[in-house]
Amino acid sequence: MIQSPRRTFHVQQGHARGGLPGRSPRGELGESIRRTGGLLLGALLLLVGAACSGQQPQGWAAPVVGDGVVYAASLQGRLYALDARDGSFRQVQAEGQAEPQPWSFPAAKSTIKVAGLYGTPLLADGLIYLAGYNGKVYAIDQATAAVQWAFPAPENERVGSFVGGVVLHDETMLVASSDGFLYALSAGSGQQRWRYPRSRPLSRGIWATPVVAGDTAYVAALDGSLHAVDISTGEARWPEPFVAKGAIAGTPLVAQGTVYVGSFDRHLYALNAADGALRWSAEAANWYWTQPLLYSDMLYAPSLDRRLYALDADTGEQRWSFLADGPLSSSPLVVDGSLIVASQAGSVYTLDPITGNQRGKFEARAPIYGPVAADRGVLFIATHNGLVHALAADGQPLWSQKVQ
Amino acid sequence: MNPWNTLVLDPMVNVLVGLSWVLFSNFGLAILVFTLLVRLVLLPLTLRQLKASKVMSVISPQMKALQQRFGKDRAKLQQETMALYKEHGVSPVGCVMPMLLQMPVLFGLYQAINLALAAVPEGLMNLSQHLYWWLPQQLLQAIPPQSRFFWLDLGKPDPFFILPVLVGVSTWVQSKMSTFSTADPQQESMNRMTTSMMPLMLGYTTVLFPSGLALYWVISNVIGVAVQYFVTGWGGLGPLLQLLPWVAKSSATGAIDAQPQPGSNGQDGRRGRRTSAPPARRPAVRSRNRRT
Repeated sequence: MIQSPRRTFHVQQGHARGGLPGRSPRGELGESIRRTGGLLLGALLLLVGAACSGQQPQGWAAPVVGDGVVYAASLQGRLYALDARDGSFRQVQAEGQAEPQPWSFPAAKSTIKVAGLYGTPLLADGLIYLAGYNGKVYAIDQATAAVQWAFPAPENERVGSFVGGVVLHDETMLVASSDGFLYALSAGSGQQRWRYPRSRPLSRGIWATPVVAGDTAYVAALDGSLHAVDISTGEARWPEPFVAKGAIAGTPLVAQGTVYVGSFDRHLYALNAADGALRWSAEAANWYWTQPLLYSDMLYAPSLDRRLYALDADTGEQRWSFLADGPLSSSPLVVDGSLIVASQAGSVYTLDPITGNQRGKFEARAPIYGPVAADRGVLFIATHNGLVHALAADGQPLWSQKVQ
Repeated sequence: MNPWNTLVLDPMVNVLVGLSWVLFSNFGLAILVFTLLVRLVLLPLTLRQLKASKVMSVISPQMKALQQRFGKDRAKLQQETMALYKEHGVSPVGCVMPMLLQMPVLFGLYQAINLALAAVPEGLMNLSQHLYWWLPQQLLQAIPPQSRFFWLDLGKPDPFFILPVLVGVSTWVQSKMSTFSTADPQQESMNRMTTSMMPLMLGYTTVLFPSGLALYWVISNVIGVAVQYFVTGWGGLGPLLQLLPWVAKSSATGAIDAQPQPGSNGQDGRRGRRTSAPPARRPAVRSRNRRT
């Protein structure tokens, strides 16, 4: 047999690249096609997986505590009642039920699907008010978890998804929706009193929880605008809304005649509460998403750039900043003289509010997106793996409970 | 630092956000333009892959002839096959390699659209970690993206199922165009599976997807069909087009001809002809055979 060296080289190359010795060319081509088909199918499955993951709303509502009970939301949009002392599930026995069941809303066999809870529920007068990602607001009996009213009332009717929470002012409940309206509802019946704006909604919707100061509600929208609204009439209080250069998803803070609000344009703004005029602004390296905290003339503003900024509340001048191990979207709070802030990397930091020095750290090992709750010196934290942690103010873990 | 994010995903996400701002915060338009740009950049690879596939399908009968001739002498068969590949300037990996090189980019594009859509609050929170810190402040006005695009909310599935149908149909058309009748039963079975299963699977899954992703898929398929047409013609779709009365009519005047043409090399894509492959080039085989 005569073979040119060049031809032999090609045969070997063919082996090295795609074929196995002794495999037929047709088999080689078939193998190549099969591999290609397999790759295509594999890629398709990957794409489907990638598309389906991260597209389900899970929620990051903070736990809320009242009368020794912690109400915490699961990633499936269900609210549970836990004993604040040990994290055990509160039981409730409905009429006609032989066995008591864990208190939950919606109940296990309910047709209601909340889809995700982002805003912190509100406890008042024996009721729990919550706004769901399904576009409904519910008032629930604290003792029985029975629905007292829903807005909109018809079962199949919804407004836009709710990402922010509810606030109460006398008998008026305020809640803002991603359909671009701020709704004022009767706290007793859930009936709509007014909505702002009256005609065209704010473009891109509203994700922030409204804030009440006196008889004015402040609401920030994803189009970057901040509005002051008369709670009794639903009319605008400022001649023009303040407009940032980026979306506002974080709840504003109103204190000492100033509105503090952070934006996706990487700026924290301090505005005159009376007319919306800009007093000062402070820049970060990433978005501000959450409500800042004012404590002893110092403003504490967490940013998604992983830093907690301590600013002079009057001037916006930076006093110090603390670098966390992950983005900060959880509102800070002060408990027993320590500044508490939680990161999306799952760490809960205890800091000196004056110097920013770290006093302690608890690692929850799962993302923390929402605010931390505190009651009688105990911290309650919901992590994005469905766990609720109770910690002492010094960061010592007390109990953990899985809610799902 | 995640190399995939640094090299592929983050640049794409930032370009997409920038495009969205330039295109009046219209995220649907941004998806359209960005998909066009990426497919344009990948065009040389796409063309190489399509041309290699076309040649492979043309020489398939010759390979079958070689198989029949040298079926028992595997070493010789390998040798002759590689010579045939060389003669036509292709190799089996020549079809696959460009596709493999394109896949990470297309996967990154898909992921970037998925990320920038930020269909749920968690998605928007995640998006913040993929944007460059030096991105001009003005561009951040495009976030969150305007999700309205015609009848669609790009972050939610199409309520009228128009996009899933378009995805299914366009995938089927592209698959059908890229398959050629072959004597190889394995390849034929693979072709059948690809042309029937892929459109169904994709069509079904798009019912669950945010419509922004489905929009990307339709645009990508339409571009794929156009490129395929200019390289290989209607391919396996040609005979089916003959069944359409108005096409059959124009076929009589020579617009599309599904019948084998004398002297044809197996297919003439531009005219939509899909003809039988030429017989194996026996003289060449014989001459090589004589040398052995």
